[in-house]
Amino acid sequence: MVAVQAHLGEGRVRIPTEPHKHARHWTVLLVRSLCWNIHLIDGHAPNIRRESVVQRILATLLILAGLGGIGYGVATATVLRESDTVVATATPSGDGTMVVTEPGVLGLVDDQVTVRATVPEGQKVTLALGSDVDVLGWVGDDPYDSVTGLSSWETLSVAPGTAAATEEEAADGEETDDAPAEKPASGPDPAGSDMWISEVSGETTVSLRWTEEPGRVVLLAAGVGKDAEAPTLELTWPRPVTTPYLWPGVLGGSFLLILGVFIAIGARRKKNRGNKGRTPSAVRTRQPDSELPRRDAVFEVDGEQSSPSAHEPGGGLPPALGDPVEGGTAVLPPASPARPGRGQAAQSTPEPEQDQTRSWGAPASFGGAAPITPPPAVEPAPGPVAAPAASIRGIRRRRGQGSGAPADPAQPPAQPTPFGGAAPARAPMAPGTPDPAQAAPPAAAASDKPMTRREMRMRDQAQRRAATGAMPTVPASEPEPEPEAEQPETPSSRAAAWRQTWGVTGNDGGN
Amino acid sequence: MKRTTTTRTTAVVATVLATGLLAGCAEELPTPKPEAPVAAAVVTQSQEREILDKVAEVVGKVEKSRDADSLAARLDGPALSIRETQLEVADARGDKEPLTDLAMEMQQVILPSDQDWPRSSFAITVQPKDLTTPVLMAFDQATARDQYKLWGWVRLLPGVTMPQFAEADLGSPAVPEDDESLKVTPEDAIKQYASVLTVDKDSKYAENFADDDLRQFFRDYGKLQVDAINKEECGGSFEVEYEPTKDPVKAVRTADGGALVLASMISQETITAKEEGCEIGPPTKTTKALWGDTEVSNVVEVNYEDMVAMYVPPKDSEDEISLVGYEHVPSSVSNG
Repeated sequence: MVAVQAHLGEGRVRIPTEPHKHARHWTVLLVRSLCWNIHLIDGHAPNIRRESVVQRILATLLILAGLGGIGYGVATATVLRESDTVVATATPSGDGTMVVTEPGVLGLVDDQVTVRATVPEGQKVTLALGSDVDVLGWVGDDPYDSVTGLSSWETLSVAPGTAAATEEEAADGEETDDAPAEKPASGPDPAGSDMWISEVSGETTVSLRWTEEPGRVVLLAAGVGKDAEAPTLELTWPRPVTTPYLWPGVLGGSFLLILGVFIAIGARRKKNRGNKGRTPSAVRTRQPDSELPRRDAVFEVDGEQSSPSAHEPGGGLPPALGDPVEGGTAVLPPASPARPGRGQAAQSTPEPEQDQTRSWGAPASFGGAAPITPPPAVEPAPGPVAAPAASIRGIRRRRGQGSGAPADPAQPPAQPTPFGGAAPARAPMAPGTPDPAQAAPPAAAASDKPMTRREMRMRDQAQRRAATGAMPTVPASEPEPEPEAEQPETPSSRAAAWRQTWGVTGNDGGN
Repeated sequence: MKRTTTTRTTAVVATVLATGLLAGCAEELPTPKPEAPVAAAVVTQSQEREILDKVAEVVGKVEKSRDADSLAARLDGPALSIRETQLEVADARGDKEPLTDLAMEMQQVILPSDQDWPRSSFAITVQPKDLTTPVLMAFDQATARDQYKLWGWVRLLPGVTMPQFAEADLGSPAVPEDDESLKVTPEDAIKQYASVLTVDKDSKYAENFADDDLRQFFRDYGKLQVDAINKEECGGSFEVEYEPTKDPVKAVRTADGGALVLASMISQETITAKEEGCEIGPPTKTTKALWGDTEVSNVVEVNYEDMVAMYVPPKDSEDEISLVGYEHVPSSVSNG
């Protein structure tokens, strides 16, 4: 989700600034298309509200999805859990009075099987278990039905049985005395034979339990007596039921749930912060609308970013955010003005969009890539537009490990890209140059504190990511100072950069 | 965003659900996987035990009730005939001495491996309480829908060494009457042995057979009778004539490729006092009981029902055919 948000943010920014470059990435295009809708929606309303609403919706959806996932996982282990037994029925074809299972059928599903045979009311039925040889020998030349296996989970496949040659011989040899007499009119009764391992006889319905043993044990079910009919067989096996979706469902659902909760918390914090900041916002409202919304957006974003970042135990970047948290709080006041600004800032529609994207970007911060955005911070001079461009670069870098990205930022950001591998020290330098004079001083101040931490992180990251070149962390440092400056215009742009630096970068990138 | 999120969520949920449902349905139907048929006895030892119990129950009941008709449920062939005779004799004598102890406590069972019918199993009892020799029993299942029945038995010779058989669980194949892999086919073995028993060393088959207790018995017994008659100077003579019955010969393969052969025979011993005026009566307690009111003459003919069990070695063996056990039950007596 985070990644998606980041992309969306980028999309917005890019479109106005440098459509061609961005267009290269098909993914970007996709993202844009998705974002456009949002733009349209968001554009009209004030940023903060939009953001919070969207966040709420997202949070709600995530929570619902999480609960749904958990529910489904649990359901698969409970309500939706498959039956513990398999019950299959064999309906005789009507030929003969006996039904014989083929070897292996009794142990088809499980070693334990319960056999139930049913004949018309009042008739006698006998179930007998014996080796296939014995059973088929007993059946001899009489017609019978053979149960050959499962045709579905509920039905057994039945086929007319064929007497084996050996049994025919045996039958010819000696059965001529007894068997023939019984065959035609009435069903012979297998009950009592020495050969049966187990047997049971009764009227109408009898059942028999059997635990599979080595050997070829088969079942003989016979309707007995005058006008006997072949019994209907019902085999019942216990079945080990697995619940493969229980834990994936619960864990996945929990993840979504937690994610949703985080977002919800983030949204609330925004609100709170926004409320706090309203007093200052009033002040700002006096200021030009266009700027105010920017600031607001930025601040909000910062606040959000900081909070989520703090929550997130994730990559090295978040720690850097630790500083930003402070900044974030500081920033918040300006954010408040944004709200009032919103209503006024109808003109500044693009800006609010950015803000929103930024706010969204906060989640994006989760992605380590965020730092890349700092290069845009350099551009802040041009205003919000420049920032987005930088963010785009960052995105590109992330995806492609942006060789192309450096080209855009080349002006100020160019340094950051190379820095990817290089030490963070340069990064602060670079930002200073590109940034407007205002930005520079604060940047320096800010850079000092963060520098050490950042440097530490940067080095670590650099070592890790060296190849990737996603150096954004460095540029991020630059923008941070800007927010401190709090100047009306610059702060907004700087704030964006600051966010970016903070790992909000993702958000910034979104911008 | 809303749309996207919703769509995504929906897609995810739908995927999960679909996967779950499909997975539920995807479980393949099991197909029967029967064990391959293995070479094993078609009667398990536990089944044999039950069979023995059932037969023993019938034998025991009849021994008390003397309802010989009930024997048919579990006795067949020579065994049924001999047991009925024993019961008659026992009735005549008023004691149980003529009744062979058929307690079915077995020290060894020889189970069939042939899937076809008739099937035969054999069993050797432990030493009976009366200190007579163990009994070798043969059981027969004529058809699949018949029960196992006691078909015949012999009392083993004292000190006889039984041939080795395949393990009971594996089962021992039956040997047909005309099996050529033996020194003599089972059918011929019985015919030859009948000859040997009849004329002893004068039989042309005598060299095929090792001397045995039964032949020695007749020599001793005959000598005893003749001596007794000669003591009276009545010119006694003693003859025995054996003859196979029409009952099938049962044979089971031994571990060495030979066969244990069981067959029923009938025999008649004739004791004659040749001198004029001499009269002789039945020689034994049993024959006396059977004799009843019959007039005494110079001849006593005693008819027997016999079972013999022989070991017939494989064709290339140096061994002789040897008697393992026999049953010799007087069935009737006449004055010639």
